[in-house]
Amino acid sequence: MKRTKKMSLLILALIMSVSIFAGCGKKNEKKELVVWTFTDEIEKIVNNYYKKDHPDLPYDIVVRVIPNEQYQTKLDPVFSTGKGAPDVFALEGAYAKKYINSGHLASLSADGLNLEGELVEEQYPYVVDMMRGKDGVLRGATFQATPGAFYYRRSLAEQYLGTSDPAGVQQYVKDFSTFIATGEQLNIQSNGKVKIVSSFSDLYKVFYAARTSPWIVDNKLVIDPKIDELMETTKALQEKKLTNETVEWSEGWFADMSGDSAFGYFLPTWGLSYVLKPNAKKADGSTTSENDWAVTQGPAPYFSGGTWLSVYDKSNMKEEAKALVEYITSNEGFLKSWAKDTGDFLSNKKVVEQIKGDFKEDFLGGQNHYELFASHAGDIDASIVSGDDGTIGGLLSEQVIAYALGEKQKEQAIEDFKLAVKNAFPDYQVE
Amino acid sequence: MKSRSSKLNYDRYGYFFIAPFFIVFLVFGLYSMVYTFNLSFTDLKGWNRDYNYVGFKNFVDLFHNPLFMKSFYNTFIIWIMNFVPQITLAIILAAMFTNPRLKLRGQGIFKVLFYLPNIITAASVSVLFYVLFNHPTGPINQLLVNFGILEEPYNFFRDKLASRSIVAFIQFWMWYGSNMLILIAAMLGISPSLYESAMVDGASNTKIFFKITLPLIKPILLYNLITSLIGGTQMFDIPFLLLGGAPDYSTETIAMFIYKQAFTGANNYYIASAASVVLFLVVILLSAIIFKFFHMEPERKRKGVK
Repeated sequence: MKRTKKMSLLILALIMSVSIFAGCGKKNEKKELVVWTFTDEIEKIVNNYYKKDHPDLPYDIVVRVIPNEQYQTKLDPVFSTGKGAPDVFALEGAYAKKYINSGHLASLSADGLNLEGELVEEQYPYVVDMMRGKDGVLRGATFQATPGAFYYRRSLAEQYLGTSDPAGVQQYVKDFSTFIATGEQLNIQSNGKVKIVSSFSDLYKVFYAARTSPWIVDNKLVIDPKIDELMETTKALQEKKLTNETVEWSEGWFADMSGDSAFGYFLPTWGLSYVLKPNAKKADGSTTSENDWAVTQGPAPYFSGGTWLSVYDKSNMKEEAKALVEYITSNEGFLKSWAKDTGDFLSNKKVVEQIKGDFKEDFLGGQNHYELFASHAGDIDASIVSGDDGTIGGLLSEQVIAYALGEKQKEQAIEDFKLAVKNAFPDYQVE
Repeated sequence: MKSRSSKLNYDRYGYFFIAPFFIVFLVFGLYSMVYTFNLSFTDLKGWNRDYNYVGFKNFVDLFHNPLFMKSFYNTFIIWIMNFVPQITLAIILAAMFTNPRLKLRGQGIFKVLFYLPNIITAASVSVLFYVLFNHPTGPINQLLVNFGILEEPYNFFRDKLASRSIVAFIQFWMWYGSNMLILIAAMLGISPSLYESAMVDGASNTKIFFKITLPLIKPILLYNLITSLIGGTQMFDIPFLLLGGAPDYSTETIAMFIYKQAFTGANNYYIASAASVVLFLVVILLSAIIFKFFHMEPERKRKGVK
């Protein structure tokens, strides 16, 4: 009795210690291609398209979806330690540049990958420029382009502007001084009920994209004239009470989509399916703005977000990684069915030209949004985008809000912005 | 000789039982601390893996950085705004619960209710308060406007004092219950005969509280003060999730400053490490001061009696 008890204890201890070390050994013989991403898009593509087209892959593909707000904090340590790094990983427009120059991303023109030729030929220039490092080497590719536009409410446009046609409304929002004038017109005619935008924070990305100089030139902070224009425009919108004073991505901002109090939103391509459609109907079903939308270019071309794919430089599955990246970015069959199934706007010019006539979006009152995006995607310039944009933009927005709300004078706001940049990037010269 | 070997010696087993703590502490506590000290004298940042030693430069820079000094100020102002009402309310509630004259009914349910906010995760609490005070459509704003207290919705999160107060209130609301429980335990540890004799002598509730309860729970108050101080200086989750430092860096705490330096922007690990070392030294210094302040007095009195 005593012996059996002792034996069973020993076995238990053995099992436990073995299970601790089991994690260190190889779990199974089948190789794994590890993919990290921050939305479910890549996961869907791998599971619903790639695996179906390639049923006999000799390896597993493991897709890990990490929420976007944690993504960089997860990615940074695996890069700096080199342990547990994924083979293929997605990068978002806001921070892609930060990783491009990190030295951890494989060149797509190098041996074994060799994707550059077809990508450069077939894709919109800006999506390729985004993924070029300071040395000009291409280190990432994408399947989607995300040009931005101005989505507006047809019924409100008809009622207060006398036209609901995208080309007609474009004349009312063609630049920012006209935009403010239109905002005043809406405000006056609706007795303050209809505001041209829900939040002035919608405008940041448009102005950031319209800059002609990047934030950092020769290690020095450059404040583009567009920033001054941004501050004045937001202040004008605030002082003339032309917004609902919400904040982008806040509850009130989403709520305005189902009511009649906001005329329009600055959103990119994916804003249609990920932002407007899910929020067009009020939770209790009392009001809805479904099928009452339309989209037009707005005051300036811009892009926002977007998912690029890169390959880890030290990955030992580069061939498999290449196959996946090539499929997602250049396989015409896949791209066509992806566009058809999701309405997502593609970065492959060739395919876009072939399919752009086929779209008719009920949600946009039957408008062909694909054609509009196709006509502007070529105008986007990504040459001023840098890896620090996300952080610097965040630091500036605090000061823009403070100035627009009248908390600070402009000089003070700019000084505080410079101080914040100096604090976050001590290596840059700030004057 | 024989008797010793026949007797089983259990002494060394004690070491086995405490070993896990020390192993974990050495690996995850002490090592990281020493490493942080090391990094605070270097220039490690971004993707680099090599670094050079730069002496005390990082510390000099820190004290010339207005945003760091501001985060210091914010941390202590928010901590004081939360700690003073928190400990006051905790003492009052604890005294009421333990007062033999009051004999409050339903004590269990009250204790649970007061402790409840502490169980909710910081993430949920900050979302809750963010929605409550949201501008312009949050419930608090709607309520104030509907009752005619405000003409139009007020943007609480653009007001420095209001934002700090909301953060301080959340900290207070989450932690007074836990402090109260510790103080109740401390008060219950006081010998009832002291209270009884005081009551027989005709002492009032207030007198009993100030002359018996308060002096005897002093060590526990000290414990509360120091743990709250350490927790307060490391305040991170609520202000970070609620406001991320806005408005105008008025809710940016030291821990947030450290986080932002290390994990956002240019990944300035060296600045973050130096700031952590400063924080560490300040906590040690303040704890030492509080310790001295609380302990010297009774010591001296005892000596005087001798």
